[in-house]
Amino acid sequence: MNEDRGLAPRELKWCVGKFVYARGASKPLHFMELKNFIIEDATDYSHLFYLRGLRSRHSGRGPIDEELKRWMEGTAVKPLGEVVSHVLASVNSPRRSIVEYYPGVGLTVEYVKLIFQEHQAPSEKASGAIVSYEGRGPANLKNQFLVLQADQDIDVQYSSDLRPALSGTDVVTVINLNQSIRYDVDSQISLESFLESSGGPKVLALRVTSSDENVWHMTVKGRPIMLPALGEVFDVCKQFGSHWNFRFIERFDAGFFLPMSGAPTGLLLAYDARRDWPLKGYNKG
Amino acid sequence: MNIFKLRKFDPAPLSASGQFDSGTTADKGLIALDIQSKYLFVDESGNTYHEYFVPGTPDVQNCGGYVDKVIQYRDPALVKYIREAGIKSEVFAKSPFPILATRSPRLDLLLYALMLELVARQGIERVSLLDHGCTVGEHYDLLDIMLRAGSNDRATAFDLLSYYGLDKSAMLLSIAKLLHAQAQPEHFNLIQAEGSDFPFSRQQFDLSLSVGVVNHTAWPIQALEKILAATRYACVLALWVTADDDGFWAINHSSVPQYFFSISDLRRILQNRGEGRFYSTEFVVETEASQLRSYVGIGEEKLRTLGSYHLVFSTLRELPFEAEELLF
Repeated sequence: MNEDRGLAPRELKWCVGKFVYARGASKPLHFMELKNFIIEDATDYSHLFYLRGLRSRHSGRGPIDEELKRWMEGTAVKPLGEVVSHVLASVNSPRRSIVEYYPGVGLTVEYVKLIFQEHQAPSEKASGAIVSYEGRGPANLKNQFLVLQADQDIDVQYSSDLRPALSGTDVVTVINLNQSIRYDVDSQISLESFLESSGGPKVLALRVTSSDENVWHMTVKGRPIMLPALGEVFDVCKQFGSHWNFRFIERFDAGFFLPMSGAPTGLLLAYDARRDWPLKGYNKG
Repeated sequence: MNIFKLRKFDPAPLSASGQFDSGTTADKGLIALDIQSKYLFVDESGNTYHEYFVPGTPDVQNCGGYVDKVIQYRDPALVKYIREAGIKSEVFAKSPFPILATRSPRLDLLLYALMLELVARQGIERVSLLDHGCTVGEHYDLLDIMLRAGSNDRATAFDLLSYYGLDKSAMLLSIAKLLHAQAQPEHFNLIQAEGSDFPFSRQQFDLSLSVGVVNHTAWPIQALEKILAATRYACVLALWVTADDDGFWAINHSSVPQYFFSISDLRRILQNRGEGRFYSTEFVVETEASQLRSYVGIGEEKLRTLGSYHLVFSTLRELPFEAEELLF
């Protein structure tokens, strides 16, 4: 590894794929490039069906792939699913819904369903937590989302309209900018305009820098991205509501960005339940 | 703004000859291999600057590849295209959906034609099918789409197929079940077993299918013999072969031994079966395959002696599609 991260080289050679080494060797004997559906999609699909298997009791009890388990534990799915469930529980309505911007394959709601199933009577359906789930993201991911989220008990929709929508108090809006980075798409969301126009409860997940200022980073996919400063996000959120709660996970999945000198990156989770609704691990920022 | 300039590179280019060109056998244990799936970044001096690891086990990567097929098959636009353009190989080959031109759908077309043949001429009401190495059951999906499209929705896989999917991966079988929750359990059977270690009785299935899975079972020749013995009418195969007189063992990118059948292997297998013939619908030389990097330590010259057949073993008098009989 490069010892001096302060003098990061400007030019790097890169590749992504399967490396085969003779045991103990440092030079690969063989290399096979991997396509995106083997990298991002494979892990998301595996994660999704693992959670669904736990819920449907078709699987999840047997031995699980250790590599996959470690990967799943390092993702934002569990902490995000937990905070979305928490906010959902604050909604006093039988018609609770979730609208998620950049939902990927829908892991957040899969985890929410699992949490609700674990806390309800066996006779109730896992989907009882919500009546509808709408994903909003790039048009090319629509079919993937709809096929994987097809659910007889919930109204599932997908829209490529990424403009902020007026939402009712029984709709929890999830702005999952962590997923937009992983899926290598440009986020077209302005946090300010979102917070300004959305009236219902909200949950945010986004990568930030712990620096005092916004900082450019580059993902392993080669995309430069400006990470907002943690303090700046606090300020923007508080400008549009007084019930925000925050949790910062420092160095979360830090390897997804090419190493640079300066303050560490991390994952910021935040929620506004439109009233005081505390959750352990979160603070007022 | 501190941004890197990135240039793609190949850390282990394919060479004319490879370390394992002369073949290896599963029992020699020539070399221990470590496999990593990752992003690798190297600086100007050739030193590793950064690595980012992703899960690389075959279960996870197969999940990516095969669930992705189901997603593509279930695309309403693809279904509409098949309904309007028809169920023909030339339609699949020229479709705006690249997946239809790939190997699996081409083999599914053969299965579909065989199913219709059995229903029409043999009077079979529900065709039993062994899907050897079924992963997440993606063949079931495309067969269902074709059956619906070809019958104005009068026929479906739900009411025409008795499906038996066999795979060694508990994880993939669990996903297969979740993806096909609507199928009747008594006609959507999943069996966890290694590909050469299964208990089916003689001619238990009307049809069978194995897309390359026979080649990387523990005992490939026995596996193929058992599949053919369990098949009554026809078996659709993608089978990797060598031009050499003897079969050839390679190691694939997942460190799994893969056996290339020789023609004499196929001749013996056919003799042991006692009835039926092999027909070829297609042959692809390995150097023209979409993925040249499937095998560790195999050079380009050796790859030219390897290839894959789309084969049909059949006991039927006639096949419902064009195919060339393999005469040994």
